[in-house]
Amino acid sequence: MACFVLLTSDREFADHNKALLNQWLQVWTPRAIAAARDLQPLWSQPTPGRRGSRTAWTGSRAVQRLLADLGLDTRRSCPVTTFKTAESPFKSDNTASNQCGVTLMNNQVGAVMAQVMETKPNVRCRHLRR
Amino acid sequence: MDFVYDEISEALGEEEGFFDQAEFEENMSTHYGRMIHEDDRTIMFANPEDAAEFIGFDLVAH
Repeated sequence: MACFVLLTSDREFADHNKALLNQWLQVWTPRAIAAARDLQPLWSQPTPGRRGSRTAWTGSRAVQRLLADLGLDTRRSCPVTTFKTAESPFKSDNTASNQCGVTLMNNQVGAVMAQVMETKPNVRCRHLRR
Repeated sequence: MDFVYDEISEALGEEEGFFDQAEFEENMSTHYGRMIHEDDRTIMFANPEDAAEFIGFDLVAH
């Protein structure tokens, strides 16, 4: 940081230096992000003690702040909103549903139990098929 | 939601008393909500408070 500040706040060459540094960022930031995305499947493996990809991406916010402090282009540096494989598509909702229910065996007795219960008010029967 | 055992026995074409709590347990794989077994039926409750009230159980620990 200290050594880059000298370059980006130079009285004479600040603009030139910033332009050059931004040019480097333009080339290397997308490559770094693409590489990090490709590593996501590894981060997503459930290994105790290993930090997940979300944690890793938040590190990129620090980079973004650093670039902002230096007056450099931060637009491509923080892709925290995009997840390709890290988040599960199965969401859970632990709020009360005000419902109760059972799953029944897929056999003769279970089928008849469902038939009987289906006739009752406020009972909804969903037949699961493979 | 009441599972009345005799209703189910009849629908199964069996004698009264065929379908009982054991049969119910055997044919139910999972359940969600509070479940109360009585001699002639199994009752499911959506609200735990309602189930507690039904059996006169004091939910507040003393």
